Amino acid sequence: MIQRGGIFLLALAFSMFFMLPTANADDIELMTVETDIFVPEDIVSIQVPDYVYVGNITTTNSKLETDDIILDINNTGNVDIIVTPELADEGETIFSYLYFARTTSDPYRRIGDWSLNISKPSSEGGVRKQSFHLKLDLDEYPGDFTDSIFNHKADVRFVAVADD
Amino acid sequence: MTKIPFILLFLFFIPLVSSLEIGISPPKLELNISVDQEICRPFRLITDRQTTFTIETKWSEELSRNLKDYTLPEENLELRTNAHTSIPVSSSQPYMFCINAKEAGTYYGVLIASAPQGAAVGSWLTITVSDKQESVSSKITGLVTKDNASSSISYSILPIVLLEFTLLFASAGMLLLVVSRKKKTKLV
Repeated sequence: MIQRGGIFLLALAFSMFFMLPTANADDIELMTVETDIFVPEDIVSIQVPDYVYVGNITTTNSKLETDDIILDINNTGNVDIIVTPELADEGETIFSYLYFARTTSDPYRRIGDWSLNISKPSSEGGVRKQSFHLKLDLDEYPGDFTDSIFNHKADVRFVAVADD
Repeated sequence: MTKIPFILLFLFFIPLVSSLEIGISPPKLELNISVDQEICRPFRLITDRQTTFTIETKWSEELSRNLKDYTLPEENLELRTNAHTSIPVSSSQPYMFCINAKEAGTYYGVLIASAPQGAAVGSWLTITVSDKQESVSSKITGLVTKDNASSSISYSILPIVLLEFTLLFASAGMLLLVVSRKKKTKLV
């Protein structure tokens, strides 16, 4: 009886030894599945005009302002953004009277007090275009224009940051 | 003479403005550092044409998403960064931003990369500076956890191997017992 039990246990041990490597072996029929999960990095990206002629002003006119100009800024990244125009030279006086509005129905706001929200493009790699209105209004300008000024330029910097 | 209207039409369709595309990644950065500890993180600057980015930081007393509130230079806040530099970029360029602080606290800033053509992109910065030095144990926690995870497979087959050896010894013992009994009966 003991002999049979011993043989049984021995057989069981040997069979488990054979099963053990089988359970962890690499030769089981397996199908390898593979995928690529693409997580795009968040990017703040804009496309802005680098030059615009805003028009001319004649001081004898009743309104010292240029015509309204429509410009576009493109959100070319993949996050919502806020774009704020600012003068590169804070000492610039004439173009400190640049006024902006999202639409003509919105009130015009002076540079420094205005920003534009642009949603992210609807698809990765896409572009979301947002128009805005711009004009130079010198009605509030404190100085006097005794001589004509030609080709007066100033740099406006459009700063885009994430709107989160 | 007849070509003039066509030339005028062509000129009409030439865009009056050209445009520049620039970008920065990531859009925001949150860092936890200790006093006097310098830490660096990579940014990526992107442009659609050869340009030179000017890097600067501006800081605010409190958290805000209005750029107008970011008026403080880093010197006022006992912060030191490697901003205030110029980086030529043709399409995509990594930029390693480094910062350290002399005083504990939370600092809110914006890293601005400006192109001379009138576009600029910014990344929000939230820097939390603590007095305590970062503990060594917190640095190695991840490694320990990782080692445990990788060895979990070997731990799972350990009970099976132990059972194997128990069975082997038990069966060998029983067989030896049987053999010794047989020898005894033969001697008798």
